[in-house]
Amino acid sequence: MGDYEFFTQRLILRRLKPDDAPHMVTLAGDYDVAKMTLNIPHPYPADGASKFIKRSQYAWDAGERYGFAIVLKETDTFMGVIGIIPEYQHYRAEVGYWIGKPYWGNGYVTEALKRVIQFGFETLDLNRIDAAHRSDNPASGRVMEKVGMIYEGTFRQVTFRDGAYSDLKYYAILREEYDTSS
Amino acid sequence: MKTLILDSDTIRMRRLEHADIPSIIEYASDIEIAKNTYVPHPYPPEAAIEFVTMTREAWNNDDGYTFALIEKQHGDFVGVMGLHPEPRHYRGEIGYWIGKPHWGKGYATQALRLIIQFGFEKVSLNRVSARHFTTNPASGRVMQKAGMIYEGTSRQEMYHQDTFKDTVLYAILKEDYHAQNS
Repeated sequence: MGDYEFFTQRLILRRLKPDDAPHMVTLAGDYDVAKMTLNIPHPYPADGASKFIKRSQYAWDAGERYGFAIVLKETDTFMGVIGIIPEYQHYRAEVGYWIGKPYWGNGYVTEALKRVIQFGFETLDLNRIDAAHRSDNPASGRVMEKVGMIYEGTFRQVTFRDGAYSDLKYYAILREEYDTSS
Repeated sequence: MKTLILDSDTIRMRRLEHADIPSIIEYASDIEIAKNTYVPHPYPPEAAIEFVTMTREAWNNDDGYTFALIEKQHGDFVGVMGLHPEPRHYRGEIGYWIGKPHWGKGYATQALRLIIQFGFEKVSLNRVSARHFTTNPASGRVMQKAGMIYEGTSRQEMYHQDTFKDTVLYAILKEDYHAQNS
């Protein structure tokens, strides 16, 4: 579908490619990263990244979801992934992301999320973009708040992972709230 | 699992049958049902056949349990209610509608209580949820009466009948259910 590639102040957001696989295995293989996500398995299988990248490219070409590599511009370093999954019928999309532990605490995810929200509203013509984080991962909630998403509720014990239930906190931003000047 | 009947004082819940099709067509054709659910309007009669066939097959595969609601005094079909499990997360979602001539008699609340019990005691779920549009507050009261707890409102989540609608989420956990029934 689209040849979407974005440049923000410090980042490049681009389509995933096979060369990203070894970096993904290293970063996603850290349990501290995996445990906060819904779908990153742990232990992370050796071929997990290449399979994920293949699936992502297929889904991208079909317009089903856009999984972007989060790359540090200065060093061309792969740091993580941010994906947007539209449900066009309802003019909405869900966003999910993860970033490797060495890159935490620099505001990279906030920067990437802002750009993807812009993509969702201005290119995909959506009306609503939402995201969720585990209640034991409040840092992710702060990222959502920083980009202007609004808390909508806590869904209790809604996911089961590694033998335990976890609550998910949901945030969303509507088109009418999206500030094009920021 | 195949011959599964749930009973309260005034209603019986059983698997849908092809004999229910005329009643389904009659009630589902009412625009008031389409306003509050995803039942299409105008309602094509073949949709009822497909609905019964699909839900019976899901029942056979333990993929989902969609019941006919029968009012015991006269044996009348009054509505449908389904429980759709997501086994990976030990959760399930409920959807239902009651034919308009049978509104206001408490059937939905009774059925919801029965299906919640079924979900925890027979399907071994940990969480059961249900949603309604904010334009249908009566459904929220049914959920409250059945012991479900409000968790959040997803703003403009659905594009339905040419407008964006907010959906309200209620859920009950196994621990809530046991606390309520001890």
